[in-house]
Amino acid sequence: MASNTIQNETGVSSETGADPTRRGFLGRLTAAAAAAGALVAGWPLLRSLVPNVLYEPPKKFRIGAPESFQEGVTFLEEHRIFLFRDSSNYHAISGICTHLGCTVKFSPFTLPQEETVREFTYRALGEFHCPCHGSKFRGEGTNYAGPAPRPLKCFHLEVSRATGELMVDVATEVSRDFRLVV
Amino acid sequence: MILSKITGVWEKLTWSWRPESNREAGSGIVANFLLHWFPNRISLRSLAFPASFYLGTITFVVFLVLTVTGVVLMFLYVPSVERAYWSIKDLDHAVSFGWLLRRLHRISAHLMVALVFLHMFRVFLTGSYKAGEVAKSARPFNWVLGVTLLVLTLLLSFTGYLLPWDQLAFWAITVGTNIAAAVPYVGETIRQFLLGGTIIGQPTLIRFYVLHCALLPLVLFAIAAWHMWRIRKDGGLAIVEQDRKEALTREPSVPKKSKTYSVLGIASGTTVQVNDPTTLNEDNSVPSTPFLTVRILLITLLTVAVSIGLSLVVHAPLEAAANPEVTPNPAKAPWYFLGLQEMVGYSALMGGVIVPTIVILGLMLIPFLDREQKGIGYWFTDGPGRKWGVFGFVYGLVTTCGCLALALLAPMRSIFPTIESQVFFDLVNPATFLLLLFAGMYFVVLKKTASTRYAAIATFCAFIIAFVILTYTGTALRGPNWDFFWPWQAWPIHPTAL
Amino acid sequence: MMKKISQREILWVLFAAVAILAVGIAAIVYDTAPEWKYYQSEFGAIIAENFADVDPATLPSGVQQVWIEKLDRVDRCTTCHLGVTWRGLEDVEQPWTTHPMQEIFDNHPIEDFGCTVCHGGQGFALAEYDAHGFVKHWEEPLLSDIAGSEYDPRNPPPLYETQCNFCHRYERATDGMPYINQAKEFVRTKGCKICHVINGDGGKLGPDLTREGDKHAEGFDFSNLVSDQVTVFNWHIKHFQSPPTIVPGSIMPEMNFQSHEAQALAMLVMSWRDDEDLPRAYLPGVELKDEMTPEEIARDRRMREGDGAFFVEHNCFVCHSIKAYDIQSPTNKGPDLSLAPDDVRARFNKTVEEFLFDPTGTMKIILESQIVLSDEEKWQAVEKIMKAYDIVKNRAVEAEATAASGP
Repeated sequence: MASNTIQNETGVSSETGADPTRRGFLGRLTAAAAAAGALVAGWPLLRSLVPNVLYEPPKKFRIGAPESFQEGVTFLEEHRIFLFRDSSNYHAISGICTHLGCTVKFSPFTLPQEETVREFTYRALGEFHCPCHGSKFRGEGTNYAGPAPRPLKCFHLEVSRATGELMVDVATEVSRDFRLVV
Repeated sequence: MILSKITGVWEKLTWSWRPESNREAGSGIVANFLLHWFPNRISLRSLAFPASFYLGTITFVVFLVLTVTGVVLMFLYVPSVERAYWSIKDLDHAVSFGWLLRRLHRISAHLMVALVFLHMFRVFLTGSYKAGEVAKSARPFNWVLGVTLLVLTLLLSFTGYLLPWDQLAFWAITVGTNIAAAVPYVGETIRQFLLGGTIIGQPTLIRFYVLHCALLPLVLFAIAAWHMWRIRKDGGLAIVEQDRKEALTREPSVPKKSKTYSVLGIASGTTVQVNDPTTLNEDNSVPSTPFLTVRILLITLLTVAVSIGLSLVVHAPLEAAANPEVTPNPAKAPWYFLGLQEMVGYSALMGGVIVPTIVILGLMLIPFLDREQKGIGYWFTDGPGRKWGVFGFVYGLVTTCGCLALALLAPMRSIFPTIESQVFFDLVNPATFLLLLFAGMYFVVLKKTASTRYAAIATFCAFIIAFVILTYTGTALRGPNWDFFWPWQAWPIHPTAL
Repeated sequence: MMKKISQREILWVLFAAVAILAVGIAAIVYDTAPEWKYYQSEFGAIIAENFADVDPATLPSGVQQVWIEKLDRVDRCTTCHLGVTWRGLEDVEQPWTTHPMQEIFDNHPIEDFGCTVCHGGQGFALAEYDAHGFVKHWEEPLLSDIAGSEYDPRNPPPLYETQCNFCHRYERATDGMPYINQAKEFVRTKGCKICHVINGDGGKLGPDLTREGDKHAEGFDFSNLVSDQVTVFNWHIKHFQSPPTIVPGSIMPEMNFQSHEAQALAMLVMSWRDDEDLPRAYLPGVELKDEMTPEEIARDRRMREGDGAFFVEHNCFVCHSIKAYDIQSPTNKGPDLSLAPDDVRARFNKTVEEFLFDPTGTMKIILESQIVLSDEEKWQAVEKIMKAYDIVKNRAVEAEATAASGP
């Protein structure tokens, strides 16, 4: 800043700090109001970029009648979900790797195995491998190799009251022992 | 007769290059953009190729090529998810010279990223971020502007990468934005703000398009202009400090009176030229016109010729149309992020968030941590500097290869199979080891030499080699399933439909 | 002391300027000498040889393109394949030859279908190599004999049938698709639906095959496929020939398919793709008409194929029934034409012929605008009306005779 200062009429130099006169106070008040005004004016510009509506597939959707699924595992490609059926027990595991979002592949065992992972015993048909960076997940979704930081998500399942079809809700996570009994 | 008319018009238009009076010379400086931009005289030390290799100039020329080709491409490309891919197909096949526009734009983009890195390496290794002792310049601040330009260049390249909307684009941006999501607490919000939703779709494409074509180029141009203005304000390339030191040994002459100009009237202190004694004279400098202008012309022509020449032989790839249901194997980020992706393979938090943040912050802080002022403008500063540079390279080579080997042969999760805590693996992994090894080396060299400059040189050289090795690994040595393949090992055949 | 720029510097600038000129000219030359120009000029020579009466200036020049908006495709094949729509060039070599299988080609006009929807390939491209689609990352290569002979050099399977079946999927058998027809026969006779859902129904022991053709190459496990051809097509062929070899533990039986049978089945399976976006105009067998009872359908056929077909073709039946030919009008706005001779004389004091050639009233408007008949057609109508009149009169006489000879 240029070092010349304009001495005001009362002889008080502004070098010793803020101008303590009414004029000074009003000046500072105006500056603060202007700054607030700028923020308020800028807020709509930024807020408009946060969408309220999304043109995306619904988070809750029907996938078909329970009887139409074969025993074992079915991969629903467009939703990236693995649906497991064990006679009348159903559960759904996300096929999206928790590392960087690639679609994992299901690697089936030749024979189903009894497994206990983190004190949960279940019958595993295989495990999940991610092709992108080599992450591996057990049959119930727990990550055990590679850079994936979290287990695969398990999604809520219910039977639609309207049509009787299975409905997956990818916005609601459930624990890995969740089973829908139809 | 017509010829003399043409030459007459030409002479009238180019009056500023041949002023015939002092008054005309003064008017010329204001009327002619190049004469205004360039200083009156340029030191021989700056003009020499090895001082800078003109990397900054080449980078800016490449940016101009990108802008010109980019504007034309904006008429031909459609930023809609249904039509983007097909508009690029048409560019490649049905638009006259569409193939040339596309290849030129793409090769220039990759060149610009590489050149920006090389320019940064040059500026660091010649110590040109240092303020100097004779007259306090703002070169440290200009270095920070430069790092900002590096980040902007990477962002421009990243946003442009999505636009073809092919498998390469879609999944590279999936990987990139998921790395952003690894930031604790606000990561997912950042990711959704970038995407304009929860998935990569039309809102994402249009956001990246506007960022790539409008917002980021404007910001980059403004900061690049500021960056170059700062060079003028500080008296030219940093090597001019050596001319200044020499001038001190000469008889001081009457200081020139001159004014300090500024942009928008916001200026701090007076310009260097006002303060320092006469530096440039007949022996150590030449007039900018014609020496600098012709040199810049030469660099520009060569850069454009090489860019177009490369476009004739290097194809711009276009993979299959983007398919959110099918992840290609392997799915890779753009090459300048592959070093990151390799480290992200060890830990998303460490490799994707912490290390890049430390690198960017570390780079920005260099001029404030290293305040030594000797050898400005000389590569590696001096003899010991060269020695420590070599040491840094070797150290970086050994440690990076070591951490890579560790990652390949002894993955953390197989060494500690019983540990479930993700925080543990985010902290204990080869990326952290590399970071600690480099930090450790800095302090050891600092202790041994008592010089921040030598320690910085060693660390920076280690960083360069680590960047090169990790990028190379991610690009060439990682194949399907992110498995490791030596360069001579063939990747498995990629299955096709027919 | 005025320093001057070194001569070396000036030479460098000259070199750079020349370099730009050189690469610029190279780029321009590369772009202005595309492959297709040669093919178009050769076509001119071929036409001059075979058809002396064709003016060469009317031949297509420049990029040729068919844009089928409904199918979201653009095909530029005809830039080089200039003879496809011509007759008489069957003996000329590719790319100028007439399209083979003329009948099928006539049923699938190029303006409505383009080329790639049947043949595959990259319609966008204008150079042979790119257009034929055997480039990396293009997932619809040309379904030619060259591709087919990779699988069977002596008897290459007609791979394009896969594309035929994308639309003709629900037909039992279609002309021109012998491989697919045979494969469909297998599906009916070999019991595939016991284990697999196919076209809407089937069992659940094996995976649902309704959209098997959409399954991406990345989704298949090729680890047991011992072959140079790591392709989905080959996977299917080998899998049909021996399921447990390709999918260990599979309970799908081995059915001793020969190689061309397995090829046909593989082609069938790969044709089963998501057809939700197929415009209904392209689905064979879909008629946008009111639903009719079986009797109405039978009667409709009789009307179109019987003696009174003339009156259906020319839309007379919209207002007029003709009971002599069992033509039933949906509206009966006008009188029955079987009795036209009497009717026309009574109302207008003319013969039928006179009336047709010089109508009045509503018929005048109709015959001038909606139903425009040539003179030849009018005489035909008169003849048929007179015949109808005779038939009705004879029936009346017979009816009286039958009644008279009653009890």
